[in-house]
Amino acid sequence: MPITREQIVKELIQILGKDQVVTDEQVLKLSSVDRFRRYEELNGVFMLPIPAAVAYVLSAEQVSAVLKFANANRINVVPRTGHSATEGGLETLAENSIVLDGSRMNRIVKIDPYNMLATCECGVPLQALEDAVRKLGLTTGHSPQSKPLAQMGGLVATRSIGQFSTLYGGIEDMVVGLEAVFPNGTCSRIKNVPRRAAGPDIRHVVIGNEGALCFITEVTVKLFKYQPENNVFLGYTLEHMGTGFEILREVMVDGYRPSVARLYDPEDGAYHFSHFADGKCVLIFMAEGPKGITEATAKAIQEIVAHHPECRQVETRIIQNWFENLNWGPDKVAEERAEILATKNIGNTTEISANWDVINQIYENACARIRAEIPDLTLVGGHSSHSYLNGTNLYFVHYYNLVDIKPEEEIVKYHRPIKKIVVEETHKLGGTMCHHHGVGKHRSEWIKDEYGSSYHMLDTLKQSFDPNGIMNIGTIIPMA
Amino acid sequence: MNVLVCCKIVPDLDRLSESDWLVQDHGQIDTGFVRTMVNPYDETALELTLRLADAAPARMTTLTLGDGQAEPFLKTLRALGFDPTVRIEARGDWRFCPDRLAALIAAYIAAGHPQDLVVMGRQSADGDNGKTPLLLAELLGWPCITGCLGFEAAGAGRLKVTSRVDAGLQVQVARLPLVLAVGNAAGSALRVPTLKSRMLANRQRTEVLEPDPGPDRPGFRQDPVLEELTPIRRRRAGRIVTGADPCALARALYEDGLKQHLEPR
Repeated sequence: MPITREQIVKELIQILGKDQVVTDEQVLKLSSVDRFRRYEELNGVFMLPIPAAVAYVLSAEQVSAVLKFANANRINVVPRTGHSATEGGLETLAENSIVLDGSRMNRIVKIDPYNMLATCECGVPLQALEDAVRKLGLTTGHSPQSKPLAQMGGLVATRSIGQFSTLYGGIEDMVVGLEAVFPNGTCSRIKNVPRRAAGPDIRHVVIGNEGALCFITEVTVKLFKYQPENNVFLGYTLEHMGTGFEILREVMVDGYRPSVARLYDPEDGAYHFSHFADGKCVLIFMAEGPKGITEATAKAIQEIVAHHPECRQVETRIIQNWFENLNWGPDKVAEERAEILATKNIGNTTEISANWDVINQIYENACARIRAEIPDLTLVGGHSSHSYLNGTNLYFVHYYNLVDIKPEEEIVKYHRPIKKIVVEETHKLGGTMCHHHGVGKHRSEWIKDEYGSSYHMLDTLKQSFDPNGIMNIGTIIPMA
Repeated sequence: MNVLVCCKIVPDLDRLSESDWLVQDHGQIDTGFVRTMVNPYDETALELTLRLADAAPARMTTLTLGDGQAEPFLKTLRALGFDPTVRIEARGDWRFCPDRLAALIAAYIAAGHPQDLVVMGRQSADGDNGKTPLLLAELLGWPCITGCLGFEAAGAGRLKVTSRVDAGLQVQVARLPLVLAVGNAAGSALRVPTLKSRMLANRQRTEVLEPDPGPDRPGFRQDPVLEELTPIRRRRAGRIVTGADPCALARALYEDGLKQHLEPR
């Protein structure tokens, strides 16, 4: 017989103490969702099972004790830190779940400027870590738009990426070592070394697990020299996305690594750059690092762009100003909430990636289908913001008016059908349906298509580390 | 009912950092590198007018003074139902010329574009004069209601207007014609047109007019030169709240700080 809600709360208080267990109804309701269901949340509609408690942990030992209890009693555990997830990864699908919150584990353990390492607990906000290392003339190099909100554990768990990734890489390129606790209570620590060839790289069992395998308690990331005085900004308008993708490819294939390399289509460009886009695509670069490198990178980009006569350079300061207003803090979230309620218009994104030879086709196919199949659209477009030697990502942006629906119908009428189109068109041409937001719960239905024959490996990981299926039910792998 | 909404496209000054507030060689602060938007008070005026038209038939015209940068915004307004969209070609700096601006609007109305109602934001983000609606009302010989937060039709030739006054909110039924200066109305972000209506709006064009220079006035200077800029430091006193535990801290914060702002006076 399953343990009752009251018994769960009682046991959690026994393990953690009263101050670390929250059962306030409003907190529990808000903890049953993340940004994916923000329209429902804005309207006070909560359709999912409300968790039994939010349990705030202060140490790996406490995490271990809670997980052992949950594992023994088959209680669903949803790990979280900054609560800024976008794909439903924090939704509590099972009755009487425990939301295991690491945000109070917010100590920067060590900054080691000699070995260029920073170690911090899972609940350290990325902004706090970045501010701390900047005082030493260093940077994490990680700058997702959610930097003011997201915390280190969640960033690693969702395989996050930042706006300067083309130079610094994604979080998987930054994590040196970490500590994680598994459902049976085992606490595993992966040591900090520059590289090792002692078997598989087990960091990748943890990075991107989205709380479906373990709870991350500590991470160590690389640090880089911060040299903003050498930054060079470049911006262009151009007619065709195809040309933009080709320029990005040439830059990457020729061996240059600007920290920012972004291409906006006319729709998305008009939204962000109303003052100069003029109905065209927008291409943006920033070169970062030592002066000699930034100068050489900028010169090379200019030479590559010069071979494409449709490109028109825009004033550097325009790009710099855009760069200074990139991130989303609590102020922008509050502004967005007010706007959604006032206008009944909401925007979402779906991010994919694919090789150079198919990316433009995926962009065109998906946009055409969304325009043809989805009602009440106000914007469909996208941008590429993370490029690699072999290909690039696409960040589809879709806004729509909410017409004749209850709050809980928004996902069914608009959001899911759009996601489905993007996933189908991406898979059709061999791309991946998730570039950096994670699978969450709203792309898990396509996970077998995503993995193909390698799904065996994913499934085996889940079965091995979480045989009782208590870790974040429905995330990555759909509910049975 | 014929309604004219006057709006202005302005730089988003929130995007300027303190170091951007510099007097350039040409005697101006350069804002050309920040994104543009509909002046927030004018955005409210546009949305409130759309709500009026939702409830009762209205012919909505929008008029702006500006350059080609206004075009994407005018296209959006066409898609929302403003027809025609009119742009008076701006040359030079009109930010500090509310009298000339009021004269231009009055001239437009007089030139065969009769209106029952003129609605505009109470001030623009960049000029910040707060005079244009009042000066326009004077030129037209119409009443003007300031601090307007909402309005609705109230029978033939009448409008029920809610406005903010010193003592609180005032609701009055006013006879048309009328000028409304729209203030800070909550929940009045401009609605968003669908892609389909935007495509339809592409078939129409903005009516572009040349400004009537009007008679010269003594002391009038259209292109003022900024000579000096002095930041105004606004600082508020801070107080550290103490308490033995989170509960006591929250109580102290509420009792000593928030209570006076939250409870009705």
